[in-house]
Amino acid sequence: MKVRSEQLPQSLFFTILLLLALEIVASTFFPIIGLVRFRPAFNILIVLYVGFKLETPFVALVIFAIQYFHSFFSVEGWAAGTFAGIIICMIISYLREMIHFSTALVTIVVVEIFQIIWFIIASLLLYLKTDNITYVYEKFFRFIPESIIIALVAPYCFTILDRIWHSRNERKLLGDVS
Amino acid sequence: MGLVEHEGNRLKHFINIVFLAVSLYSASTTEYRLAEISFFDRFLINALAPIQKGLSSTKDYISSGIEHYLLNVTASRENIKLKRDYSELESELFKIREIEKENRRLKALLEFNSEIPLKKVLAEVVAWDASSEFKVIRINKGSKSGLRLQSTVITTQGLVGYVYRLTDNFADVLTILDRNNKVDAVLERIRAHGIVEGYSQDKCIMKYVGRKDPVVLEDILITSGLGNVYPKGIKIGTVSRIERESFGITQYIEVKPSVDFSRLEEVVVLLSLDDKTLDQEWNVLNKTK
Repeated sequence: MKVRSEQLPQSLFFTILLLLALEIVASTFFPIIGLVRFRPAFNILIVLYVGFKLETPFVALVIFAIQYFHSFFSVEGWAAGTFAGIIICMIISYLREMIHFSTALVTIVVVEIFQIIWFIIASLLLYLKTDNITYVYEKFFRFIPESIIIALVAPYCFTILDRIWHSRNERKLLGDVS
Repeated sequence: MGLVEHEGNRLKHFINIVFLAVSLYSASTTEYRLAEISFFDRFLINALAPIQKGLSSTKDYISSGIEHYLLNVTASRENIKLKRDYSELESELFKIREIEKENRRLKALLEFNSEIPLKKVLAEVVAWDASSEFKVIRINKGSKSGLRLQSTVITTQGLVGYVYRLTDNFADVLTILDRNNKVDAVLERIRAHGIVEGYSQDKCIMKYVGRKDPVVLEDILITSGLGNVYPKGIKIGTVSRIERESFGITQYIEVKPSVDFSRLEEVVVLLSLDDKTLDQEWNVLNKTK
Protein backbone atom coordinates (compact mmCIF):
# COMPACT_ATOMS: atom_id res chain seq x y z
CA MET A 1 0.00 0.00 0.00
CA LYS A 2 1.53 3.28 -1.10
CA VAL A 3 1.32 5.94 1.59
CA ARG A 4 1.00 9.58 0.61
CA SER A 5 3.28 11.96 2.54
CA GLU A 6 0.35 14.10 3.76
CA GLN A 7 -1.42 10.98 5.10
CA LEU A 8 1.62 9.82 7.07
CA PRO A 9 1.48 12.11 10.17
CA GLN A 10 -2.23 11.50 10.85
CA SER A 11 -2.03 7.72 10.44
CA LEU A 12 1.18 7.58 12.47
CA PHE A 13 -0.50 9.56 15.26
CA PHE A 14 -3.41 7.09 15.47
CA THR A 15 -1.01 4.14 15.26
CA ILE A 16 0.90 5.54 18.26
CA LEU A 17 -2.36 5.99 20.17
CA LEU A 18 -3.17 2.32 19.48
CA LEU A 19 0.34 1.34 20.60
CA LEU A 20 -0.02 3.33 23.84
CA ALA A 21 -3.34 1.62 24.59
CA LEU A 22 -1.86 -1.83 23.94
CA GLU A 23 1.27 -1.04 25.99
CA ILE A 24 -0.88 0.07 28.93
CA VAL A 25 -2.80 -3.21 28.67
CA ALA A 26 0.46 -5.19 28.53
CA SER A 27 2.20 -3.34 31.35
CA THR A 28 -0.74 -2.94 33.74
CA PHE A 29 -3.77 -5.06 32.89
CA PHE A 30 -1.94 -8.32 32.19
CA PRO A 31 0.04 -8.22 35.47
CA ILE A 32 -3.08 -7.50 37.57
CA ILE A 33 -4.88 -10.52 36.12
CA GLY A 34 -1.93 -12.70 37.06
CA LEU A 35 0.11 -12.75 33.83
CA VAL A 36 3.29 -11.53 35.47
CA ARG A 37 5.86 -13.59 33.62
CA PHE A 38 4.75 -12.96 30.04
CA ARG A 39 4.25 -9.61 28.30
CA PRO A 40 3.28 -9.79 24.62
CA ALA A 41 5.31 -7.24 22.67
CA PHE A 42 2.69 -5.29 20.71
CA ASN A 43 5.33 -2.94 19.34
CA ILE A 44 6.72 -5.85 17.30
CA LEU A 45 3.27 -6.51 15.86
CA ILE A 46 2.85 -2.90 14.75
CA VAL A 47 6.36 -2.73 13.30
CA LEU A 48 5.66 -5.94 11.34
CA TYR A 49 2.47 -4.37 9.98
CA VAL A 50 4.48 -1.36 8.85
CA GLY A 51 6.89 -3.68 7.07
CA PHE A 52 4.21 -5.83 5.47
CA LYS A 53 1.82 -3.17 4.31
CA LEU A 54 3.35 0.27 3.96
CA GLU A 55 5.29 1.41 0.95
CA THR A 56 6.93 4.70 1.85
CA PRO A 57 10.53 5.90 2.01
CA PHE A 58 9.87 6.88 5.64
CA VAL A 59 9.39 3.34 6.98
CA ALA A 60 12.49 3.68 9.16
CA LEU A 61 11.13 6.91 10.64
CA VAL A 62 7.78 5.23 11.43
CA ILE A 63 9.58 2.33 13.12
CA PHE A 64 11.71 4.73 15.13
CA ALA A 65 8.58 6.60 16.30
CA ILE A 66 6.91 3.34 17.37
CA GLN A 67 9.99 2.14 19.24
CA TYR A 68 10.51 5.56 20.82
CA PHE A 69 7.01 5.53 22.33
CA HIS A 70 7.48 1.87 23.34
CA SER A 71 10.57 2.93 25.30
CA PHE A 72 8.36 4.84 27.78
CA PHE A 73 7.03 1.49 28.94
CA SER A 74 10.26 -0.46 28.90
CA VAL A 75 13.84 0.00 29.99
CA GLU A 76 14.75 -1.80 26.75
CA GLY A 77 14.96 1.60 24.96
CA TRP A 78 14.30 2.26 21.29
CA ALA A 79 17.57 1.37 19.61
CA ALA A 80 17.64 -2.45 19.46
CA GLY A 81 14.00 -2.66 18.33
CA THR A 82 14.53 0.02 15.68
CA PHE A 83 17.53 -1.86 14.34
CA ALA A 84 15.68 -5.20 14.26
CA GLY A 85 12.57 -3.57 12.77
CA ILE A 86 14.43 -1.90 9.89
CA ILE A 87 16.30 -5.11 9.05
CA ILE A 88 12.99 -7.04 9.06
CA CYS A 89 11.35 -4.42 6.81
CA MET A 90 14.28 -4.66 4.40
CA ILE A 91 13.83 -8.46 4.31
CA ILE A 92 10.07 -8.08 3.77
CA SER A 93 10.59 -5.58 0.92
CA TYR A 94 12.35 -8.34 -1.04
CA LEU A 95 9.64 -10.92 -0.25
CA ARG A 96 6.58 -8.65 -0.52
CA GLU A 97 5.38 -10.18 -3.81
CA MET A 98 5.37 -13.65 -2.19
CA ILE A 99 3.41 -12.65 0.93
CA HIS A 100 -0.38 -12.54 0.59
CA PHE A 101 -2.56 -12.29 3.68
CA SER A 102 -5.39 -14.23 2.07
CA THR A 103 -6.63 -15.88 5.29
CA ALA A 104 -6.31 -15.29 9.02
CA LEU A 105 -4.25 -18.49 9.28
CA VAL A 106 -1.72 -17.22 6.74
CA THR A 107 -1.48 -13.94 8.69
CA ILE A 108 -0.84 -15.82 11.93
CA VAL A 109 1.84 -18.06 10.39
CA VAL A 110 3.62 -15.22 8.57
CA VAL A 111 3.62 -13.03 11.70
CA GLU A 112 5.02 -15.93 13.76
CA ILE A 113 7.80 -16.55 11.21
CA PHE A 114 8.85 -12.90 11.17
CA GLN A 115 8.73 -12.73 14.97
CA ILE A 116 11.25 -15.59 14.99
CA ILE A 117 13.48 -13.55 12.65
CA TRP A 118 13.04 -10.56 15.00
CA PHE A 119 14.02 -12.77 17.94
CA ILE A 120 17.15 -13.96 16.14
CA ILE A 121 18.26 -10.39 15.32
CA ALA A 122 17.47 -9.03 18.80
CA SER A 123 19.16 -12.02 20.49
CA LEU A 124 22.24 -11.61 18.32
CA LEU A 125 22.50 -7.96 19.39
CA LEU A 126 21.96 -8.96 23.02
CA TYR A 127 24.55 -11.73 22.83
CA LEU A 128 27.11 -9.43 21.22
CA LYS A 129 26.53 -6.90 23.99
CA THR A 130 26.37 -9.20 27.03
CA ASP A 131 28.36 -12.24 25.89
CA ASN A 132 25.85 -14.39 27.77
CA ILE A 133 24.19 -17.20 25.79
CA THR A 134 22.30 -18.56 28.83
CA TYR A 135 20.27 -15.39 29.00
CA VAL A 136 19.31 -15.69 25.31
CA TYR A 137 18.38 -19.35 25.85
CA GLU A 138 16.10 -18.44 28.74
CA LYS A 139 14.60 -15.57 26.76
CA PHE A 140 13.69 -18.03 24.00
CA PHE A 141 11.30 -19.95 26.29
CA ARG A 142 9.51 -16.73 27.21
CA PHE A 143 9.44 -15.70 23.57
CA ILE A 144 7.48 -18.80 22.44
CA PRO A 145 4.18 -18.16 24.30
CA GLU A 146 4.47 -14.37 23.88
CA SER A 147 4.96 -14.66 20.12
CA ILE A 148 2.05 -17.10 19.78
CA ILE A 149 -0.29 -14.64 21.53
CA ILE A 150 0.93 -11.85 19.24
CA ALA A 151 0.46 -14.04 16.14
CA LEU A 152 -3.08 -15.00 17.22
CA VAL A 153 -4.19 -11.38 17.67
CA ALA A 154 -2.38 -10.23 14.51
CA PRO A 155 -5.38 -10.59 12.10
CA TYR A 156 -7.55 -8.42 14.33
CA CYS A 157 -4.87 -5.83 15.03
CA PHE A 158 -4.00 -5.69 11.31
CA THR A 159 -7.67 -5.02 10.51
CA ILE A 160 -7.63 -2.04 12.91
CA LEU A 161 -4.33 -0.84 11.45
CA ASP A 162 -5.77 -1.22 7.92
CA ARG A 163 -8.48 1.22 8.91
CA ILE A 164 -5.95 3.61 10.40
CA TRP A 165 -3.80 3.53 7.26
CA HIS A 166 -6.85 3.61 4.94
CA SER A 167 -6.12 0.37 3.14
CA ARG A 168 -9.78 -0.73 2.99
CA ASN A 169 -9.69 -1.30 -0.74
CA GLU A 170 -6.92 -3.77 -0.49
CA ARG A 171 -7.22 -7.46 0.26
CA LYS A 172 -8.47 -7.92 3.83
CA LEU A 173 -6.50 -9.88 6.39
CA LEU A 174 -9.26 -12.18 7.58
CA GLY A 175 -9.78 -13.77 4.17
CA ASP A 176 -12.58 -11.79 2.54
CA VAL A 177 -11.72 -9.95 -0.66
CA SER A 178 -13.57 -6.67 -1.11
CA MET B 1 7.46 7.79 -13.34
CA GLY B 2 10.39 5.37 -13.20
CA LEU B 3 12.70 8.20 -12.31
CA VAL B 4 10.43 9.29 -9.43
CA GLU B 5 10.31 5.70 -8.11
CA HIS B 6 14.10 5.48 -8.39
CA GLU B 7 14.44 8.72 -6.40
CA GLY B 8 12.00 7.34 -3.78
CA ASN B 9 14.08 4.17 -3.44
CA ARG B 10 17.27 6.17 -3.03
CA LEU B 11 15.65 8.26 -0.29
CA LYS B 12 14.34 5.10 1.40
CA HIS B 13 17.79 3.45 1.34
CA PHE B 14 19.38 6.63 2.68
CA ILE B 15 16.87 6.91 5.59
CA ASN B 16 17.21 3.17 6.34
CA ILE B 17 21.00 3.36 6.50
CA VAL B 18 20.95 6.47 8.71
CA PHE B 19 18.48 4.95 11.21
CA LEU B 20 20.27 1.57 11.17
CA ALA B 21 23.58 3.24 11.96
CA VAL B 22 22.14 5.47 14.70
CA SER B 23 20.16 2.64 16.35
CA LEU B 24 23.10 0.23 16.20
CA TYR B 25 25.39 2.84 17.74
CA SER B 26 22.82 3.65 20.42
CA ALA B 27 22.14 -0.04 21.17
CA SER B 28 25.83 -0.74 21.59
CA THR B 29 26.58 2.26 23.78
CA THR B 30 23.42 2.56 25.90
CA GLU B 31 23.77 1.53 29.53
CA TYR B 32 20.58 0.76 31.41
CA ARG B 33 21.88 1.92 34.76
CA LEU B 34 20.50 5.48 34.68
CA ALA B 35 18.19 7.16 32.20
CA GLU B 36 18.37 10.86 31.40
CA ILE B 37 14.91 12.16 30.54
CA SER B 38 13.85 15.16 28.51
CA PHE B 39 10.90 17.45 29.12
CA PHE B 40 8.88 15.52 26.51
CA ASP B 41 9.74 12.16 28.17
CA ARG B 42 8.74 13.57 31.55
CA PHE B 43 5.46 14.88 30.12
CA LEU B 44 4.56 11.55 28.50
CA ILE B 45 5.41 9.43 31.55
CA ASN B 46 3.41 11.77 33.78
CA ALA B 47 0.49 11.59 31.37
CA LEU B 48 0.51 7.80 30.94
CA ALA B 49 1.40 6.57 34.42
CA PRO B 50 -1.90 7.77 36.00
CA ILE B 51 -3.79 5.63 33.45
CA GLN B 52 -1.70 2.64 34.50
CA LYS B 53 -2.32 3.53 38.14
CA GLY B 54 -6.07 3.82 37.51
CA LEU B 55 -6.18 0.42 35.84
CA SER B 56 -4.29 -1.12 38.74
CA SER B 57 -6.58 0.33 41.38
CA THR B 58 -9.81 -0.66 39.60
CA LYS B 59 -8.85 -4.34 39.65
CA ASP B 60 -10.76 -5.02 42.88
CA TYR B 61 -13.83 -3.12 41.70
CA ILE B 62 -13.98 -4.94 38.36
CA SER B 63 -13.47 -8.41 39.83
CA SER B 64 -15.98 -7.78 42.61
CA GLY B 65 -18.53 -6.36 40.10
CA ILE B 66 -18.25 -9.38 37.80
CA GLU B 67 -18.49 -11.77 40.73
CA HIS B 68 -21.58 -10.12 42.18
CA TYR B 69 -23.36 -9.81 38.84
CA LEU B 70 -22.84 -13.50 38.03
CA LEU B 71 -24.01 -14.56 41.48
CA ASN B 72 -27.22 -12.57 41.33
CA VAL B 73 -28.36 -13.04 37.77
CA THR B 74 -30.30 -16.29 38.32
CA ALA B 75 -31.77 -15.60 41.79
CA SER B 76 -35.28 -14.36 42.65
CA ARG B 77 -35.87 -10.67 43.31
CA GLU B 78 -35.85 -11.11 47.05
CA ASN B 79 -32.79 -13.21 46.82
CA ILE B 80 -31.20 -10.58 44.64
CA LYS B 81 -31.95 -7.91 47.23
CA LEU B 82 -30.72 -10.04 50.12
CA LYS B 83 -27.65 -11.13 48.26
CA ARG B 84 -26.96 -7.58 47.20
CA ASP B 85 -27.20 -6.42 50.81
CA TYR B 86 -25.04 -9.31 51.87
CA SER B 87 -22.56 -8.63 49.09
CA GLU B 88 -22.37 -5.00 49.99
CA LEU B 89 -21.72 -5.85 53.61
CA GLU B 90 -19.24 -8.47 52.60
CA SER B 91 -17.59 -6.03 50.23
CA GLU B 92 -17.40 -3.44 53.02
CA LEU B 93 -15.94 -6.06 55.33
CA PHE B 94 -13.51 -7.11 52.62
CA LYS B 95 -12.51 -3.49 52.16
CA ILE B 96 -12.02 -3.06 55.92
CA ARG B 97 -9.95 -6.24 56.07
CA GLU B 98 -7.91 -5.08 53.10
CA ILE B 99 -7.38 -1.71 54.79
CA GLU B 100 -6.40 -3.50 58.01
CA LYS B 101 -3.96 -5.69 56.12
CA GLU B 102 -2.61 -2.68 54.28
CA ASN B 103 -2.20 -0.81 57.56
CA ARG B 104 -0.30 -3.71 59.01
CA ARG B 105 1.94 -3.90 55.95
CA LEU B 106 2.57 -0.15 55.93
CA LYS B 107 3.28 -0.11 59.66
CA ALA B 108 5.72 -2.95 59.25
CA LEU B 109 7.34 -1.14 56.33
CA LEU B 110 7.78 2.04 58.35
CA GLU B 111 9.17 0.23 61.38
CA PHE B 112 11.42 -1.97 59.26
CA ASN B 113 15.11 -1.20 59.47
CA SER B 114 14.49 1.63 61.93
CA GLU B 115 18.20 1.64 62.68
CA ILE B 116 18.93 2.91 59.18
CA PRO B 117 19.36 6.67 59.59
CA LEU B 118 17.48 7.54 56.44
CA LYS B 119 14.18 9.18 55.67
CA LYS B 120 11.61 6.71 54.35
CA VAL B 121 8.90 7.33 51.77
CA LEU B 122 6.10 4.83 51.20
CA ALA B 123 5.09 4.16 47.60
CA GLU B 124 2.73 1.88 45.73
CA VAL B 125 3.62 -0.21 42.70
CA VAL B 126 1.47 0.98 39.79
CA ALA B 127 2.93 -0.83 36.78
CA TRP B 128 5.53 -3.26 35.56
CA ASP B 129 7.93 -3.03 32.60
CA ALA B 130 6.20 -3.60 29.24
CA SER B 131 8.84 -6.14 28.28
CA SER B 132 9.25 -9.37 30.24
CA GLU B 133 12.96 -9.14 29.50
CA PHE B 134 13.47 -6.29 31.93
CA LYS B 135 12.48 -6.28 35.57
CA VAL B 136 11.42 -2.73 36.24
CA ILE B 137 8.51 -1.48 38.35
CA ARG B 138 6.87 1.94 38.34
CA ILE B 139 5.93 3.50 41.69
CA ASN B 140 3.59 6.38 42.46
CA LYS B 141 6.11 8.70 44.10
CA GLY B 142 8.52 11.01 42.33
CA SER B 143 10.83 13.93 42.86
CA LYS B 144 7.99 15.93 44.48
CA SER B 145 8.06 13.40 47.33
CA GLY B 146 11.80 13.87 47.69
CA LEU B 147 12.93 10.88 45.63
CA ARG B 148 16.22 11.14 43.81
CA LEU B 149 17.93 9.08 41.16
CA GLN B 150 19.62 6.04 42.74
CA SER B 151 17.44 6.18 45.87
CA THR B 152 17.33 2.70 47.39
CA VAL B 153 14.00 0.84 47.34
CA ILE B 154 13.20 -1.86 49.92
CA THR B 155 10.38 -3.80 51.55
CA THR B 156 10.13 -5.51 54.93
CA GLN B 157 11.57 -8.60 53.24
CA GLY B 158 14.67 -6.90 51.87
CA LEU B 159 16.17 -5.10 48.91
CA VAL B 160 14.04 -4.32 45.82
CA GLY B 161 16.36 -2.11 43.73
CA TYR B 162 17.07 1.53 43.02
CA VAL B 163 15.36 4.45 41.28
CA TYR B 164 16.77 4.75 37.76
CA ARG B 165 14.21 7.04 36.10
CA LEU B 166 12.36 9.85 37.80
CA THR B 167 9.55 12.30 37.09
CA ASP B 168 7.70 14.66 39.43
CA ASN B 169 5.11 12.09 40.53
CA PHE B 170 6.40 8.70 39.39
CA ALA B 171 9.61 6.74 39.46
CA ASP B 172 10.89 3.63 37.70
CA VAL B 173 12.78 1.16 39.87
CA LEU B 174 15.40 -1.16 38.42
CA THR B 175 14.94 -4.28 40.54
CA ILE B 176 17.73 -6.60 41.61
CA LEU B 177 16.24 -9.24 39.27
CA ASP B 178 17.33 -7.16 36.28
CA ARG B 179 20.67 -8.15 34.82
CA ASN B 180 21.66 -4.46 34.56
CA ASN B 181 21.49 -4.07 38.33
CA LYS B 182 24.68 -4.99 40.15
CA VAL B 183 24.77 -4.97 43.96
CA ASP B 184 27.95 -5.17 46.01
CA ALA B 185 27.08 -7.84 48.59
CA VAL B 186 28.53 -9.59 51.61
CA LEU B 187 27.81 -13.11 52.81
CA GLU B 188 26.72 -12.38 56.36
CA ARG B 189 28.22 -15.49 58.00
CA ILE B 190 31.69 -15.51 56.43
CA ARG B 191 31.92 -11.82 55.35
CA ALA B 192 32.99 -12.75 51.81
CA HIS B 193 32.39 -10.05 49.19
CA GLY B 194 30.82 -10.50 45.77
CA ILE B 195 28.60 -8.85 43.17
CA VAL B 196 24.94 -9.88 42.93
CA GLU B 197 23.41 -9.60 39.46
CA GLY B 198 19.88 -10.21 38.23
CA TYR B 199 19.48 -13.47 36.33
CA SER B 200 15.84 -14.46 35.83
CA GLN B 201 12.29 -13.97 37.10
CA ASP B 202 13.06 -15.31 40.58
CA LYS B 203 16.79 -15.61 41.05
CA CYS B 204 20.05 -13.69 41.00
CA ILE B 205 23.64 -14.85 40.77
CA MET B 206 26.55 -13.87 42.98
CA LYS B 207 29.85 -13.41 41.18
CA TYR B 208 33.47 -13.12 42.21
CA VAL B 209 33.30 -15.17 45.44
CA GLY B 210 36.54 -17.09 45.85
CA ARG B 211 36.44 -20.85 45.30
CA LYS B 212 37.84 -21.53 48.76
CA ASP B 213 35.29 -19.39 50.61
CA PRO B 214 33.14 -21.84 52.66
CA VAL B 215 29.72 -20.82 51.33
CA VAL B 216 26.81 -23.09 52.30
CA LEU B 217 23.17 -23.23 51.25
CA GLU B 218 20.84 -20.77 53.01
CA ASP B 219 23.71 -18.37 53.75
CA ILE B 220 22.28 -14.85 54.00
CA LEU B 221 23.44 -12.05 51.69
CA ILE B 222 23.36 -8.41 52.71
CA THR B 223 24.40 -5.20 51.00
CA SER B 224 27.98 -4.17 51.70
CA GLY B 225 27.42 -0.42 51.46
CA LEU B 226 30.13 -0.07 48.83
CA GLY B 227 29.33 1.72 45.59
CA ASN B 228 27.37 4.62 47.10
CA VAL B 229 24.00 3.27 45.97
CA TYR B 230 22.72 0.92 48.68
CA PRO B 231 23.12 1.45 52.43
CA LYS B 232 24.97 -1.27 54.32
CA GLY B 233 23.13 -4.20 55.91
CA ILE B 234 19.98 -4.61 53.81
CA LYS B 235 19.05 -8.24 53.25
CA ILE B 236 19.27 -9.30 49.61
CA GLY B 237 18.44 -13.01 49.77
CA THR B 238 19.77 -16.46 50.55
CA VAL B 239 22.11 -18.83 48.74
CA SER B 240 20.01 -21.38 46.88
CA ARG B 241 22.60 -23.21 44.77
CA ILE B 242 26.38 -23.57 44.75
CA GLU B 243 28.60 -25.00 42.02
CA ARG B 244 32.21 -25.39 43.08
CA GLU B 245 34.83 -27.03 40.88
CA SER B 246 38.23 -28.34 41.90
CA PHE B 247 39.77 -25.76 39.57
CA GLY B 248 39.15 -22.08 38.79
CA ILE B 249 39.23 -18.95 40.89
CA THR B 250 35.60 -18.39 41.79
CA GLN B 251 32.49 -20.44 42.51
CA TYR B 252 29.04 -20.22 40.96
CA ILE B 253 26.37 -19.11 43.45
CA GLU B 254 22.67 -18.69 42.82
CA VAL B 255 20.68 -16.44 45.13
CA LYS B 256 16.99 -16.53 45.96
CA PRO B 257 15.92 -12.92 46.62
CA SER B 258 14.24 -12.41 49.98
CA VAL B 259 11.62 -10.18 48.34
CA ASP B 260 8.72 -11.97 46.66
CA PHE B 261 8.53 -9.83 43.52
CA SER B 262 5.32 -11.48 42.30
CA ARG B 263 3.46 -10.10 45.34
CA LEU B 264 4.98 -6.65 45.46
CA GLU B 265 2.39 -3.98 46.31
CA GLU B 266 4.03 -1.36 48.49
CA VAL B 267 7.66 -0.40 48.84
CA VAL B 268 9.75 1.97 50.90
CA VAL B 269 12.15 4.39 49.26
CA LEU B 270 15.12 5.36 51.40
CA LEU B 271 16.17 8.96 51.17
CA SER B 272 19.44 10.27 52.41
CA LEU B 273 19.05 12.87 55.17
CA ASP B 274 22.11 14.71 54.03
CA ASP B 275 22.80 14.32 50.36
CA LYS B 276 25.67 16.81 50.44
CA THR B 277 28.13 14.14 51.53
CA LEU B 278 27.02 11.88 48.70
CA ASP B 279 27.25 14.72 46.18
CA GLN B 280 30.77 15.52 47.39
CA GLU B 281 31.80 11.87 46.96
CA TRP B 282 30.38 11.79 43.43
CA ASN B 283 32.14 15.06 42.58
CA VAL B 284 35.47 13.68 43.78
CA LEU B 285 34.92 10.47 41.78
CA ASN B 286 34.01 12.45 38.66
CA LYS B 287 37.11 14.61 39.02
CA THR B 288 39.41 11.60 39.36
CA LYS B 289 37.97 10.19 36.07
